[in-house]
Amino acid sequence: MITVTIDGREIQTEPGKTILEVARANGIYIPTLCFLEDLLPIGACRLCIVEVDGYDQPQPSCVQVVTDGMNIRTTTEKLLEMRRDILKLLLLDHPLDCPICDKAAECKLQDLVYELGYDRAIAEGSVGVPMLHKPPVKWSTIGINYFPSRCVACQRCVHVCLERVGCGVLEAGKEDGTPRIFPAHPEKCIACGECLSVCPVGALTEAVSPLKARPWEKTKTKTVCPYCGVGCVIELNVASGQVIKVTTDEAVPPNYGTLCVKGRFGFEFINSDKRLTKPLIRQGGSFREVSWDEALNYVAKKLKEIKEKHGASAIAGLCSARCTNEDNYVFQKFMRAVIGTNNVDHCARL
Amino acid sequence: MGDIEDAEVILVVGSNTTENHPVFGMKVRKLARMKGTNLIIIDPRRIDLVDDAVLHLPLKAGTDIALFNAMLNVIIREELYDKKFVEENTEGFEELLKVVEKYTPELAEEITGVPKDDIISAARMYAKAERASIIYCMGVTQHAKGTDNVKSLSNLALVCGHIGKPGTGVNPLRGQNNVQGACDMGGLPVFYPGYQRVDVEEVKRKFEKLWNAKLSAEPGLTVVEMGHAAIEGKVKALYIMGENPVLTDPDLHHMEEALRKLDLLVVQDIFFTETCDFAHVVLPACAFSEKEGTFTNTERRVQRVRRALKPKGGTKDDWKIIAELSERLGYPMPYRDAEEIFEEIRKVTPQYAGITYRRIDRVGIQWPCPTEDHPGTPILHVGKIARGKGLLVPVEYRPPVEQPDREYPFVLVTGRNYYHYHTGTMTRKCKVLNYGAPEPILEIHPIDAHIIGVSDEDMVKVVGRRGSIELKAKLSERVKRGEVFSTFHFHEARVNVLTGSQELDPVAKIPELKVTAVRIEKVGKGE
Amino acid sequence: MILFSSWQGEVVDNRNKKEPKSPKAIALPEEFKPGEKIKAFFGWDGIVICDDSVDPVDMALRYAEAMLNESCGKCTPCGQGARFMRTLLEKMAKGVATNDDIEGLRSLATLIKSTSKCSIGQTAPVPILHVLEYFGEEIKGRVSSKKPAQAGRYRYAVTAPCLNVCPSSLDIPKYIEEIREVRFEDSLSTIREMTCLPGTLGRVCVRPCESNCRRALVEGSVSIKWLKRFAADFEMGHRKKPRLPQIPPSIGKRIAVVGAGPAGLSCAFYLALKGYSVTIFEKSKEPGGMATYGIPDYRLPRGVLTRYEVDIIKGLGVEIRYGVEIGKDIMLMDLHKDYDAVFIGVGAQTSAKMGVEGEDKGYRGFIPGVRYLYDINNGMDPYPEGKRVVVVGGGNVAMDCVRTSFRIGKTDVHLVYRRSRAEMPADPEEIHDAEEEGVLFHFLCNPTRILEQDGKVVGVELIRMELGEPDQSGRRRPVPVPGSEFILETDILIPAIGQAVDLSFLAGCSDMKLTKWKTLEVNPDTFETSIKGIFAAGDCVTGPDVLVRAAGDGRKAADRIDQYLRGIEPGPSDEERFDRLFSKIKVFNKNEKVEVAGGMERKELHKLDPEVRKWIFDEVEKGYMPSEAITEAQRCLRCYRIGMIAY
Repeated sequence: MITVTIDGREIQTEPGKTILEVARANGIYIPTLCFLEDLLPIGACRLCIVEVDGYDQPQPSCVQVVTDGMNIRTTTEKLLEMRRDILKLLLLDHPLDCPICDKAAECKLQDLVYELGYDRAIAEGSVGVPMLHKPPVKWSTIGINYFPSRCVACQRCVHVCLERVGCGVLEAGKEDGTPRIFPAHPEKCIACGECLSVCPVGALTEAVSPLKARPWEKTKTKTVCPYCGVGCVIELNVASGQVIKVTTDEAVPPNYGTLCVKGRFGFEFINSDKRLTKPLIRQGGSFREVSWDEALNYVAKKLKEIKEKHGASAIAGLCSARCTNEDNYVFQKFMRAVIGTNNVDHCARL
Repeated sequence: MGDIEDAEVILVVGSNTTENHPVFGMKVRKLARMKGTNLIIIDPRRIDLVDDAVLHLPLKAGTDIALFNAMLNVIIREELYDKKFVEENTEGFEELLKVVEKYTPELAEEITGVPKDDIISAARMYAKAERASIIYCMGVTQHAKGTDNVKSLSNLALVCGHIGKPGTGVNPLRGQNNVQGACDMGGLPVFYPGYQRVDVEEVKRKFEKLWNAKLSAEPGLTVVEMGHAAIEGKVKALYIMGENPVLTDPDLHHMEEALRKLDLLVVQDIFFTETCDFAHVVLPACAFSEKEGTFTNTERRVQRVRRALKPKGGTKDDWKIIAELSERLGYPMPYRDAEEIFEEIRKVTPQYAGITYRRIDRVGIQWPCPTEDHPGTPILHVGKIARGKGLLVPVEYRPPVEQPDREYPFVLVTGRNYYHYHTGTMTRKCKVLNYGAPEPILEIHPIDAHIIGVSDEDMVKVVGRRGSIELKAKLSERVKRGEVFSTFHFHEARVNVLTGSQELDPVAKIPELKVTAVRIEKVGKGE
Repeated sequence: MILFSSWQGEVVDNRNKKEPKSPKAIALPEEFKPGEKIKAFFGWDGIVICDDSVDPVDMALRYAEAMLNESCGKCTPCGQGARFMRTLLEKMAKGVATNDDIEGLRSLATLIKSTSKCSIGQTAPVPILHVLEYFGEEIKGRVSSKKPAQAGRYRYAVTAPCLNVCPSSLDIPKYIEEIREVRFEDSLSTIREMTCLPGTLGRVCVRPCESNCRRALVEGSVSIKWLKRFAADFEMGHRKKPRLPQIPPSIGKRIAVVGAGPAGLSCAFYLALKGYSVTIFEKSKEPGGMATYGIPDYRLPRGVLTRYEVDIIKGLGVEIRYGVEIGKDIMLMDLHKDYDAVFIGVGAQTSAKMGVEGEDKGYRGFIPGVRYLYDINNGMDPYPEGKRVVVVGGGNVAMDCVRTSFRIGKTDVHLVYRRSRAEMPADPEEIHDAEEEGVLFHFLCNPTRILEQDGKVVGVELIRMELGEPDQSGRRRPVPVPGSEFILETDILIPAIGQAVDLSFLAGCSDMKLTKWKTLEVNPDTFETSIKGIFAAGDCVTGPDVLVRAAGDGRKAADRIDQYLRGIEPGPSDEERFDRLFSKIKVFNKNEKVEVAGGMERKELHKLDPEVRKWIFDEVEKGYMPSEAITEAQRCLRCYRIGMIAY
């Protein structure tokens, strides 16, 4: 164990941790923009700078590890000034198109500007592009729009693609002197949308749902992905009675914040107009829409007849690896207790 | 899945993890790339994970056992096995020894086509690791000898003592989100919920009492047997809840014939599937997003499913439809909601006894969870093998039933792709997914394609002994020479028209889906 | 003459001074290339102006443009700020800047310097701030004057302390950053741009880069060598297809390379990449030259160079003819006639003489170091009966001889060196490992006489030395202490004090000019020997030197041969000239106070236990795991910096 002092507080900690980690673990706030817990420190935004005794220059707290006896200050006037200046650089030609940005009110940049304050005098002098909406450019998947003008080049997307997904589709670079992200290897893209999920601003936005909603207009329901056996926890974002987006919870297993293409973009079927909505009964070569009563009475009658004529074992049922446990339980109970046969199976083997 | 991080070596067998279980695949990939976990891939195709692997053993489809036995051969001969573990925790080592003795790496090379040095390296790497894990999927089970394949894999793990510790074990990856749950709930012809056998008198009596009904002690039919029975006229009515056997079942023509013969086919689903074409009654069900309930994932984690939307149109919960039908048949099931059903599940399923909706509100619990203060069981067999001692069951290699010949020179391997799920009823209605994989394709090695005069994007006809399909060829070095690959997601090219259902695994009743002999004919030029 | 310098904070202002002073901190060469005078230099530690025609504001603008070009965009201050800095300087250069703009520039430059992630951002504002500080009056005078600055001509290049000192000019910060970003394959591609022997250099390089590493001023240098090995091993271990550039269509010209050592292989590789067809003539049965025969397996397992890396070179179409001795089987002048160009990379493979009585008598047990290693690497013990070994010398060959001796079963192993441990030229790591394995060191001793009996070595007479005045190499010269002779009994005496070039390949070729050290004389700018069309590099030119230099010079020679065959006057590229300029200016300042709070120790490799390893030839060091490599790569400070000249 080593001892460090942060903002006058003595803290015991293990060596090898970064200043940011130690600060956060002890409830000391340091602003960040690019930092993501499960990735290696990116060190791009430089907002997490702190002062360390013995050094004239500020130290990036997301990269710098604590050493014994280190004396750290996280919130001096000089640091606040520098953080504000760094923010100003980000806002230099950031379009103030917040009203039409999907990310409004969920935007880390908005939050930081609000938190650190903004010197209007300089804004008048240098920020000259309010409401300048530039169209999105091509990304490596059609599920995502990229607005380079809103991009803060934090590279969360680049690193999440490299480290979490393992694809390395994206590269940080520059265009006309301005930092931006390039989908340099689109052939490697698996359209999982992890880049989208970590974008702190409105540079990457979801391009699937035509319907959008502000955070206070939508509800999030936590449930389980309907696809493979991993069983990722997902959050269905619902507005106006429709799923408009899928997000997830970083804190819970089994997926800890990660999704694949199906989990993230495979929700449109829910609202498909091809969904069955009424019971159907065959009439010759076609089907007739009927009421639930008619349909169920018909089925009940036929099942009774067959059971009486051919015995219970002439009836079989397939339950489903895509229905809930409760559905399956009731189904097999029905087959066994009501019909009286063990002819129950599902397509697990297929 | 969480403890995979502790493994030094991961043996990935018949699992295209990054495509079929992408989120888990990402994790495996991250471990390989960033931590240095050694991956050994055993798969006929050069799947994406091979890029991050130290070894790829591209065996001929259906020759798994010869390969595993040869690995055992090396491990035993070089005395790399865990002698203490074998002595204390297993039985049957002598018998196993007798069988694997003849599977030398040289013989295995002949059978599997994998260079013997690679077999030896794989065996050494797996055996020498402090902790090594095996993950497998349909590539292992979907064979007429799927059960033998799994036994053979567990022999490997037992002999090396790679079991019951974090980062070890023989871990199946389930293809669909609630396969585990459907099995747990008794969606199987021989089991009541919680794997209690229907043919054990005392179990039967217990359930008769619980359910207040007379039950049958006779094991039921499996899905493939149902098909055969329908054709023979023994099964007259079939009730299908949320499955689409017309695309998933092997030898589709056979299955279609079976469905046509039925007096009553009820299909309950969210879409009008290919199977609905044969139905007498179609019932509209809620989608997962409109349901309350639970799913159980591949690591036996029971998780909450919640209603985000009102049921669309006139749809109803699957269980509710069944309950209403049940009432009409004189057996009321007056469940108020899903939670009440779950409370009953807890009562009859010992593994679920300690799980409540309240407990899994935020994070799911892994069964077995016998009591409400039990934390759940992330790793099975900790400290000891569940049945006391692990039984080593020697298995012999038998060649796949379907062998390529002059007329059908290629072996068709079937599987899934990354963008679609099962029969595509859901995924093909999603923009991003359809863009990623818009149409069925047949992967074929460029040299083979060249020999039969097929270019990239040409339409080809795949002809097997039971039928044929047409689809686009894609030249790819992911497949070996002599093998072709396609998926079963697409109704335009129903791959299971080709696969066989006569030969079933004697225990699990799984048909031979992975190995089918076919020939390829060019039918048209690609644009 | 220097008009003004602010290099490293030492301000020398000779403007309007009667008696000009010279700065101590910098020695700026007069010319960049013949006939091209350096009028000013702007760089990471300040500005130097030599000619009053240079407009500092214009040069600052152009320097800011260079910064904008080189800024990678991966951190906010530099990535976003460089543009703005350029805009403000442009206003100043046009004479339309306001006082607010100047203040804005000053605070922006300070912000970028203080908060940027790497040294591009941390150093590029320095010359701009210096211009603002030391040319403030002039700048003030131009505020809103509309008077444009005087446009000049400039060149710039990027360097880094490690990169500048690397004889193979590897882009070290780049390949390390790629490892940090988990782009291991990209990292190896970066390395391959400059060397085709990554696995070899990753194991045996003497790593001048690491002694020029700024991280060493914090808590220990980045292990650049091991990271290189990691990138190479990753490809090998995962059986990945080596990623090589597309080879252009064959040029139809043929080149003969003499010697398949590091120089010859490198030259062949880069020539093949340019589309030439290359044939290598190698005297022995295996490729690699001294790298194969001189370096034992426990440091460089045989397969890495002789199979893996050579296979890649052969994969490019390079043909290697083994067992062909030039000067005997084929004459050099015949090659000259039959091929469009010839490259000589025969190395320095014979042992230098000690000048000790008895060394040319052919006593059994007297085995020159190179010969000793050669035999052992060929799988035989040159003198199985001899169990006691004395090796003379302090370099890496001497280290290889002592450490190999245990591994072929010798029991008593001594090393004799005439200076003290501090002066030993061998890699300190090697010395440490040898000590761990039980080699007995005799410092400040020199052999004077070989003792023999029946034609066999039985011992060696040594004399004690003391250190006198420093010689021209800066090391203190050892002087014998009269009367201090003593005897060390031994069966085997191995001189390993240096090597010489075996010139037998020159048979029948009398025109070749040699230096007084009996090495080939070449034009240092073109690598051409005194015979037109014959080029040479490596130890046969430099005398015994390090592998990384032979490999680097082999590659550079390939460029010159390409120029020669295309009819272009061969000569160094501008980058190479900048490298030379920068090494005169010195990129690494060991007195710098690096503003990094440290605490991340260098990650050492796992080694086999000395008691286990000393008897076997298994590789001693176990390479990094990916997680270790990534952590180590995170320590790199990415010390890129921009140097710009006005001419």
